[in-house]
Amino acid sequence: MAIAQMTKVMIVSYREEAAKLLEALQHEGIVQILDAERAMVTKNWPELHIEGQRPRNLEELIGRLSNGIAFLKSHFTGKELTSALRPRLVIDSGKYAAITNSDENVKLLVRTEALASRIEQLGDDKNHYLSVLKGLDPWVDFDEPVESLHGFESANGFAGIVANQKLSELTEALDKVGAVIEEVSVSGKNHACIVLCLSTSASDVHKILRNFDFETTNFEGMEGTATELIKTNQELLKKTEDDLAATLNDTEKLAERKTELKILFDHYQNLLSREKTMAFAPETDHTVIFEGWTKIKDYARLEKVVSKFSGSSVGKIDISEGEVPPVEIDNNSAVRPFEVITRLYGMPAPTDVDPTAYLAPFFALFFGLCLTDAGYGIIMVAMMWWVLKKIQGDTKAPWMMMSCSILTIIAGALTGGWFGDSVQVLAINKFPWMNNIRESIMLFDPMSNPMPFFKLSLGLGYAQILFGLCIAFYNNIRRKEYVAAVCENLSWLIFLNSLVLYGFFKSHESLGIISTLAGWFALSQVVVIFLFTERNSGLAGRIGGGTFALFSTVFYLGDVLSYVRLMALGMVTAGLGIAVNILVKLVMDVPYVGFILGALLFVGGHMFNLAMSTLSSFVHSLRLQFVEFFPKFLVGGGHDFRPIKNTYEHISIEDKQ
Amino acid sequence: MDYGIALCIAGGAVATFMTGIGSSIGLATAGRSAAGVLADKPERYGLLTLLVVLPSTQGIYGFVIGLMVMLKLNMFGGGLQEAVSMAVGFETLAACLPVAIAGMFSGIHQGKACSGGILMTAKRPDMCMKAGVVYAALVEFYAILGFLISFLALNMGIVFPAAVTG
Repeated sequence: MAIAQMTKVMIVSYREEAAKLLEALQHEGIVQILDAERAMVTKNWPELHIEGQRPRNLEELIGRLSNGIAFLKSHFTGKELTSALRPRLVIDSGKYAAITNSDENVKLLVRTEALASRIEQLGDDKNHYLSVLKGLDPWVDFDEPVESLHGFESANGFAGIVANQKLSELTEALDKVGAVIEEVSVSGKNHACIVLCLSTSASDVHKILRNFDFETTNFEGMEGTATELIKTNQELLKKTEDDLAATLNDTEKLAERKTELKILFDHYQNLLSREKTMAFAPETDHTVIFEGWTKIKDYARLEKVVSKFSGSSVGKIDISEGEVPPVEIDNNSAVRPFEVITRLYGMPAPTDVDPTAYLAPFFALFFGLCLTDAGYGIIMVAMMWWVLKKIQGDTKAPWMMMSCSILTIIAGALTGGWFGDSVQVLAINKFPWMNNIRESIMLFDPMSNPMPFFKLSLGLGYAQILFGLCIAFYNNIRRKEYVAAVCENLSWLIFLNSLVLYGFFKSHESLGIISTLAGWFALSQVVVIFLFTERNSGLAGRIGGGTFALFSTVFYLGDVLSYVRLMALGMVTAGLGIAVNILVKLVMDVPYVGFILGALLFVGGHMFNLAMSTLSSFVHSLRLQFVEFFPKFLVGGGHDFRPIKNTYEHISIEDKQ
Repeated sequence: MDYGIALCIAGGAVATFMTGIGSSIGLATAGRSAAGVLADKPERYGLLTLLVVLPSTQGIYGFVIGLMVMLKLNMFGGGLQEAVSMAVGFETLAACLPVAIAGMFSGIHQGKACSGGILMTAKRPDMCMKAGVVYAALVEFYAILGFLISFLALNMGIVFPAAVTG
């Protein structure tokens, strides 16, 4: 339950075996390797720095594979073996090795690309022929070869389409410049016409045609009558469509082999990761230097891996001044699911404590209090159980939600929430025993008496904030920062508790001495906070910093009050549940179908409420950790530990041995 | 005609719809900014969602105060034994105003603060929590104070007639 201790390592390897060593390191996934830009060795010996070249060929191949997978996926008609919960195909390690070592794999990609290109070409051809046929359609009645419109010695011919209502005006306008127009056919609202004029008036005619939106038909490159051209293009279209259908058929068959491309994609992605690491690592003429980080507990494993290579060695090196190790958090199985929250916030600084174990109980409890409905909790437990049975890979998030759901059941049962007030309203007549059980386990009903919920929310908030200060105190002691622990953490712990005790016992005359003592305690801590919060600054800095620190008492008040959202969200869930039940009750009075409608509305309404309230509960529980709790003890801003390791986007390799 | 109850319901309605307006405007402002950032940086979804939903709290507070007014009037359980006086009606209306007004303005301005935080997160995701979320959360403090006053006034400052029993 802590931040993993890191050690800096340097691995030196003969160039001949460096690639193999890197593959072994990637397989183990325990060492983060720094490039020459960040490695300290190149800062001490700049001659080791090299201008690495990106492996562009490999990047291009991966891009082609990605396109090939997308293409085959779009033409796959069989049953998909992957799903949202199981996005990666399980592949036997033998099959993986066979495919990645085969010479056939590049041929498969080339064939896929050829088919993609062919389909695109045929599609373009088909569209072209359809367009030509559409253009020729109005000219069926034009018996002359279309090329006869061109090649006059002293005249020009225009073929085109004009709107019916503009035809007479166009005819008049053309007549004025000595041109003639002949109608060939009428189709819908348009006329197909041929316009003839002397070459000397061609430009005037052209302007007139443009003014009347005369849409010119282009017969350039065509020979024969329109009927002959239509027949030829129909034959070409038919052939193209047949070719397209055959190519699509071939593609569908090839799409059954898309898994092979997926395997290759993941294989080459991992290779790319190694190539990039190798390309940017510091090097000499004969060796490659891998400087990086590993967890102290993994160092023995790292030594074992490197020892298998006779031309390579590994050793620990000192951390340079100003160098910050990456951060990885290690937690036991009970707490690990809540690492999702910590990672969402970002890694703690190396000198911080890992907040996961501390936030876990609070987060689950707050989530339960925000939902506060045992019925919803039961549904969520069932859903998470199903997801956990089906999901592939990382199960942290569903396990976290499972914990939250169990606490939702407890919180709901203690506050009497079972699908809103359905037990009291809908089941009271037929199943009165249900309400008896509900009342027997209920501590308080927030809808009739919200004050206990209000006090509970603020109490939990106060407890979490004090807990945050305790963690900060512990962390400062651990780091031997004793003055900071006393002046920045312990002083606030005493001050805040003294203020609470002072306020609480002030009205109790018999216990007035406690109030007085608490008041003096609080005052003493005011002095400590005022003088020693900015203890490293000058007098003005001390006074300014101290004044602001005392003013930040208001922020503590704001933080505690912010927890009132636990009550508010709990009441929102209950309130919406009540609204659903009122509607159900109204619908149940409808004759004949009332019960069915009521059941549908009950399920739909409560599922909606569950979805909305779950989202709110998650986000607001998260916010209480990030905004109110973490700032009390966490600096944050740590960099993730990113070891070189095999990652798979499409497949999951199973070793049957 | 029972003007007392009408005033009480008006109070609950004002608390609900004004805070609802504030939250809606705030969410829309933050949502628009987030959508713009996500177009370029979809990997920031988790962080930005947290910033987008921050202004939703005010609406929840207003809804709870509205619900509490209804509970005080025993609207789900058959009403009250006596009519609600005009004085109690005005008291209830007045009690609802802190959360209504503080919630509405806080929601709108929190949305703007979140929007700024979202734009900052696009370039500096490491500052999202320290600055983006914390600064926006400070705006909410005054909505919480408004809610607190409304809540305490309703529960401790106003004497409603007893609820109909049985």
